[in-house]
Amino acid sequence: MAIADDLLTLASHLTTPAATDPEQAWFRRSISTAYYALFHLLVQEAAQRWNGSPTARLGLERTFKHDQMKEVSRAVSTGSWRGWSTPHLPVPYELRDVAKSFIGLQEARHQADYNNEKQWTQTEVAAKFSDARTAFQNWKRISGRPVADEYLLSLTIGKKRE
Amino acid sequence: MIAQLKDLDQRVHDAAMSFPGVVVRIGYSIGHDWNGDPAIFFRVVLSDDASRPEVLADNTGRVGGKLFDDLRLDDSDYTPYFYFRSKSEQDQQKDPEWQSLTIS
Repeated sequence: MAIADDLLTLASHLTTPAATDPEQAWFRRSISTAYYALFHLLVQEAAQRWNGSPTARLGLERTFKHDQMKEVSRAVSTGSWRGWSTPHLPVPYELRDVAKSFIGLQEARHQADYNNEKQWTQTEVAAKFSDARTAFQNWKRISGRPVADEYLLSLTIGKKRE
Repeated sequence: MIAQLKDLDQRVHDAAMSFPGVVVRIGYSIGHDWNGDPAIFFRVVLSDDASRPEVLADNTGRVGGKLFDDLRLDDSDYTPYFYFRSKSEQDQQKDPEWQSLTIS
């Protein structure tokens, strides 16, 4: 997950601009970068489970839709998400935290990238970065579990049809 | 959720009071997120001590989790979003959105 980890490192660096740096620009890029770090972590984890060629895997990675990933993550965070197993697999708190962080970071990323009226503070930005870092830690605890795989499947193709 | 709005102020206030020395104030507004979905935006002012880098993640996690649980946000049509500032940052910015409880 080199690119995801690298993006997280960059997001951390951007939370603390020097006095001579354009602060708001750094803060906005930190938030956007933190979101994309988590986005790429999940996309690459999902694509790794695909047995096709590297080219096909790249193609798969390009099919992920941000709004669909939000919708699935919202369902996970509220407890309404259903995977494919019968009986349904319990959702561990780590997965719920990842889903909540994804939703919060996506909205913050929209604000950071498009709402130029908003002024960010260092604490706001550091809090968003810590959300992403915690999501990485929680994901590593559950990666490979069946429920995590089913979440990745939902991110890829959308919520299960009831 | 709409039916609960009348006591939302009290519930948010109660949640804030659960964190003496950590939470200075919690404001919120109701509207739509960037995707156009119903949303509730919480703006939490933390004490400067609670905003220190070594404790920030723990405090934001606890406060956000308390609001999520106490307000039954898992049972709501409104997606919750949480933003945190330190008291000294808000004193400097004087952003009216962060000053009080609001419903917009």
